[in-house]
Amino acid sequence: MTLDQERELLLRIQSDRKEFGILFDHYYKPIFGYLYRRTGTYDLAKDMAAETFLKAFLRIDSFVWKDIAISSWLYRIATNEANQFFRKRKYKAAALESMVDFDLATQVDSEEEKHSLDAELKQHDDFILIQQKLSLLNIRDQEVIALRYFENKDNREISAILGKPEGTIKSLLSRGLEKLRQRVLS
Amino acid sequence: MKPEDFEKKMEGLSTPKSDAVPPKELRLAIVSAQRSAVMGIWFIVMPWFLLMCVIMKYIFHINLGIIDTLKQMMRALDKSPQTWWIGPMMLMGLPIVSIIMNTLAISHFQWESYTGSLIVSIRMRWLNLSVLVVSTGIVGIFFLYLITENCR
Repeated sequence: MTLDQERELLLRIQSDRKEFGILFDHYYKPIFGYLYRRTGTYDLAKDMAAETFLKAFLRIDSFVWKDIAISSWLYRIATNEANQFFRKRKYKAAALESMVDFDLATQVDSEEEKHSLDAELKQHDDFILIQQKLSLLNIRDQEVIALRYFENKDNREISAILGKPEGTIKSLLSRGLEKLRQRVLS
Repeated sequence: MKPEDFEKKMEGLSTPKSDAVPPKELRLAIVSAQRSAVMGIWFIVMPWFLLMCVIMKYIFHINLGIIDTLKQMMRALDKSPQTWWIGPMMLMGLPIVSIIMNTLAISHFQWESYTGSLIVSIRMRWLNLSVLVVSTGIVGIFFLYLITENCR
């Protein structure tokens, strides 16, 4: 969706809330994917994605267009949701694999989808290791690294999502990457 | 591994792709499931402990002495007009709050106007369900006790 299309859609949503469904259908998959890659847990990502879209729905009227993509705004809400989760469990980071196993024992609505995603996750050993080590870093490092290397966002996009200057993002990335490297090597 | 190599590795990191289909509806928990479970456990600790002491004393005939102390404490609280409510609140009130919180945490209610039906679905969160069962058991036992004591 281009910026012009997003701007037009925003105006339509602000005059008719039902149009929010288009935004939801378009961005649910990337937002859910981002939260899934950050948390590594299907249920958690699903709950966070639901919270993200609920917050977006409730705040869309106050969204003022400043040439920042709606997707960046959605990513910002999702990032805050993920950060909230990591802040709460900051000092009891669990292994990603154990989290996956725990969730396999619970039943959810989309059992098939969950199993296929968990199977997909288990095929990415390097990612699991990086994700696990990343969750041990501080929130500021986690968010930039996840957006850069898990979501393939460039510095300009990350800057728009996090509301920080590009220079800050660059230095956060460089320092964060070094901390992550040390964790991986340890 | 050198920093440059690690950066290259990160650039080429293969991430799991999500093929999640946007759900037709968003199911939001009324209250947080995990928080409800934890609070529920705290709410039922005291009545659960009391029940265990009663079972130990009257069924297994093991008197730890705690039950008598608790009884005396309850009687003392019961006598004062300022504190009489603490006992019932602890033994019945808190487990009832635990039941309500954990029920809301795992339930989803949907009203279908065209069929005029209310669809209730329960998420299988084992911790919440366990707390719910134990809380219901505690409330049930104390309720039965109240009935038998007052109808004698």
